[in-house]
Amino acid sequence: MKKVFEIREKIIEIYYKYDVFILPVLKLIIAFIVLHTVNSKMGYFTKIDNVAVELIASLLCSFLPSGMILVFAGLFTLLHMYGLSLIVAGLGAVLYIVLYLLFLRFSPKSALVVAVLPVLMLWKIPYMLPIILGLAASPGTVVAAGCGVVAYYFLHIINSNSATIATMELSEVQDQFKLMIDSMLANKGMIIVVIAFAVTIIVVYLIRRLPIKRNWEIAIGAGAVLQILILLIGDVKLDTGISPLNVILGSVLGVAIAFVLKFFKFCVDFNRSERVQFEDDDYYYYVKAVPKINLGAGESGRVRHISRRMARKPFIDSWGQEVYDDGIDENYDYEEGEYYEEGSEEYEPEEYYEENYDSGDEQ
Amino acid sequence: MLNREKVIVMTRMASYEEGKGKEHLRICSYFRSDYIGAAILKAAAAVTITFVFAIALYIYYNFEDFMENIYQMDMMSLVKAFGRYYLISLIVYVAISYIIAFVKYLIARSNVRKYKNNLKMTRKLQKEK
Repeated sequence: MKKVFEIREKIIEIYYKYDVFILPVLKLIIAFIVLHTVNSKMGYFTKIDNVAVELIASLLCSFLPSGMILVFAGLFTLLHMYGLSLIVAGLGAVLYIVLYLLFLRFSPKSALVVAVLPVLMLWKIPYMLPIILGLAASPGTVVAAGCGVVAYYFLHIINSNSATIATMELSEVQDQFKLMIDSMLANKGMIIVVIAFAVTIIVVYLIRRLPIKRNWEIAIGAGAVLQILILLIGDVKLDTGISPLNVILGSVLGVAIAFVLKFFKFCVDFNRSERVQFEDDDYYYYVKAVPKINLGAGESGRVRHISRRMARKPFIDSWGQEVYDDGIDENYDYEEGEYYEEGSEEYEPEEYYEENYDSGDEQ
Repeated sequence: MLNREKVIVMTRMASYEEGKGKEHLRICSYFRSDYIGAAILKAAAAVTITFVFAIALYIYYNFEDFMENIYQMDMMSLVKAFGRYYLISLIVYVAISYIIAFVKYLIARSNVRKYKNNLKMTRKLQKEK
């Protein structure tokens, strides 16, 4: 077990040391996977259906904000739709515009979820994502997950009917249009999946924020069970064609990944290290702020001394009051071996971060 | 001589400014009524554009029926039905957008207020030097 902790510390150390390089490489890999999947599954527009174009687009995505992965994915899918049929491309463009105008503009930072979810659905492993999003992200990702599901089913309908659409004459444009609309409206599976994902994300998010012991474990379990129930009941009642085996396996995988996330969560602040610079009358400051990665103790969480970090008085107190108080009581004599457990009430990095001061302060 | 506490305060402020502070400070540069009003206008525009698309798709879907029955059709009742659906969707969506904008503004204002308190603390620490 000690070895596992040591490996964890090593991974975290490498992550913080090289995060400037790691994140662009990650974005490059994700963008390449998404674009390559789009090309391999659609491939109706041959000019962009080659690895060189995918690599160039992925390289661009690695330097640009992560939302650009969605933009490129949308562009690629629209071009493939255009290669198949103009009316399908028009319908696709309208769908993307409506999804953006009505939903996605409320959570633009979750754009990556919209790009990644269809790929996961294609690989039959989307059911882990809502649990992970509920743990690691905000409820705003419900919108992104819903948009991702709708986009997947739209592209799936295009692929299913591509042979029929390709053989239709230009005069049968309205028939193509009706085929697409009828397929979308008849797709009850899409609605059930959207509802299941939305409920899962919200329930997991709400439970993990509760000030109770084992809140993460309860959230993960509740999310997985709820997701399986909604999808299976929806499949029985509406005959959606969702595979129960995939649902259960996907949820189990989601639970496993969620526990790995939990293993790292209290050691890694997902805001990563930050570099800031500022000046005052006397100095220029070039500061690298690295969130602390362990308790300064052994694997039991038992600490030898109470550091500044342990006294979890919020850095910023509530409105109008004394705003800087590190919370250390100079008169208190901390005993040898005094400790707190991760997940205990004294240590709630997320609640502190979100409710008190969003400065990247995880303490 | 470096004032450690001042460095910590200023580091936190700089980190906030480069992170969520950008959005929060932008939001708080508006009066609440202006910010929420702008959000409502954007929501109304979004619903209107979506509704126009929806009507266009509906008409195109039933294009043959429309062309065959255009002279027998009760256009007024059709227009009234469209108007009813538009108003309902507009009211619902604008209400949701209002709530989201209101909550966003509250959160931004709360954090910016703390940020400004930090500024006061920095000045205080500077004077104590």
